[in-house]
Amino acid sequence: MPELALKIGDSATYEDGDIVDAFNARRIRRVHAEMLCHPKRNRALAEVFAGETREYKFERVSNTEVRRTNLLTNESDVLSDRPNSNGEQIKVSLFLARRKACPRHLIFGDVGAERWYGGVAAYSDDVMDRVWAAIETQTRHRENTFRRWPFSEGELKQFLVLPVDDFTDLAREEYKAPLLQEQNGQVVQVKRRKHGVDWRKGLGLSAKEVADVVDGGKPVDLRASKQPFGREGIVRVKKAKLAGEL
Amino acid sequence: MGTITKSIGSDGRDYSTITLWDAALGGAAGGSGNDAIGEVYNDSAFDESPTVADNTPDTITLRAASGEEHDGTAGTGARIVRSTTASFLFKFDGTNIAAIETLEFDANRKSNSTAVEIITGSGNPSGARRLHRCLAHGLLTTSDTTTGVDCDGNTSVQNCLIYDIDNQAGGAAANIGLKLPTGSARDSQAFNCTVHNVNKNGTGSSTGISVNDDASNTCQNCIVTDTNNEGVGSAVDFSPASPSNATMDHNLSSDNTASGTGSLTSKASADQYVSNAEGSEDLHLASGADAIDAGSDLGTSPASVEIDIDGRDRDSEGDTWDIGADEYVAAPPASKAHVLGGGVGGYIIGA
Repeated sequence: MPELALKIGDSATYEDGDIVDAFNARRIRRVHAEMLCHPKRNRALAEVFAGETREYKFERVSNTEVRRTNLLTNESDVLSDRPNSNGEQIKVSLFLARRKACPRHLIFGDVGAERWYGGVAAYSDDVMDRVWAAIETQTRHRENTFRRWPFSEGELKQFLVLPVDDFTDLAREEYKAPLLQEQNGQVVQVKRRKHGVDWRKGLGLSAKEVADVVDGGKPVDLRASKQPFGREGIVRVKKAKLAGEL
Repeated sequence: MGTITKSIGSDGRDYSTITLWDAALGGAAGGSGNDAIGEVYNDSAFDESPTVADNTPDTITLRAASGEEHDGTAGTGARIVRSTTASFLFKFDGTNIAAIETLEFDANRKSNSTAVEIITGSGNPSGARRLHRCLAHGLLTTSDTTTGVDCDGNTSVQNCLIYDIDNQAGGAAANIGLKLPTGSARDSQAFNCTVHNVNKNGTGSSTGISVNDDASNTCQNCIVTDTNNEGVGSAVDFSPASPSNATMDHNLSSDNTASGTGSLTSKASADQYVSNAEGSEDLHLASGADAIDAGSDLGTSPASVEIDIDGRDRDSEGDTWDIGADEYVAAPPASKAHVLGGGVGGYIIGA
């Protein structure tokens, strides 16, 4: 369930109702998948996650050689301790010894045939579909029980979390953007956030609900009691003041 | 008055994002008169571009929690990994920074123009500020200047690894791995940093470490290798190559721009690192590296300068200092495979 976390009350840096952080469906499904595939929980799934998200697969093929395969193009080359035409080299025994010294390392496979993953990471919906399919095949976890961002109890006391309709990554960045204004030929930040929600009056909350949110003594989780709000109806865009009004 | 330490991570911590922690620095996570510490956990990668900017606490420190640090390579500890485009990856904007330590900043080639930006406000506020034992890498931009680590104000960048800073913007947009601030009396330092593969494609300059030639700035014990320009612009590992005022010595470059006492030039990156292979970089020093035992002993000032990327205390261990972020020590026993036939296609029997 996509969510917005709002500031409750003014502070030195934020205003009441500012959208502090924004969580769309893709970000939520990624964070849960990554936790379920963490090497401390499930090493088999950790390899699935790495293999699905990363650009390269590395496979040790001898004492000194490693095969590098681009998982998008399936092109491969072999690296060793002798620099290739691009000057790339790897001292594989030393590399692996260092990695394996960490108890939660991400080196898979038997000694002598180790494999690992690296390069750019991709978290597209297609990639996450495959990761979640593996999670559901290999465990009893189901994605439909991981639809909410994992806020702590303390966060639910300090911020107001709103369920909303889904939004793009671009909208997510926009929600977290500061309010900028040109002053004396320079663009300066005048407020920490450009977007906010008049949550006290604009959401139809009861007086008790508003009081509970302001009180902060116990967590308030509207995700359990409210249908997703339509963002277009609640998100407000602040306007930069004219120079004479500053 | 006190120290307020909060955990940050997605698996049952106090705050689930760095952004939310920052928004609480004026209250529960910090507050007036306190020293605020955010301890970051490797529960999952942080997919955000946080700005930490709240001058309410006396000081702010952001670091990996104990046991959650990277091992000097990507993807191994508490980290920010961008999945979408943003103009920067991490920004500290305030006068009360104490330290940013042991974190990884992976721009993941998502058109960020800056990985880590430290802005200490106008003037030159007093107090120790440091970026320490961090990884910053994976920058790619096609439309702007690019800077791996961009410092403004008196900041000490120590024992950091910065690599794969790629600017494909063409034109004159500059590309810099580590940039110390311009202006006079900024009192900034780069100590024992390793910068590798700063690449530009265009008429602008590509620079590994850029130091404003002011007497208040220092660059010592730093490695810069493979600064490149695919276009017609310049590419230098260190700038300036012949400082008149800044202190620059005991550095190592793969070109001829490392200057001053004890500096080494024309050293191949392949001879320095465990791995410089794309996607599997490990910029720890390899046995026989020219950088080993070639550094200057900086003692224990400024604070933490003696602690290398892996947490090794060069001072208490009595090490002869190396150049770069890593202090070389023999690695744990290697898992050596027995290979029949050798090479690709050979049969391997796990030992």
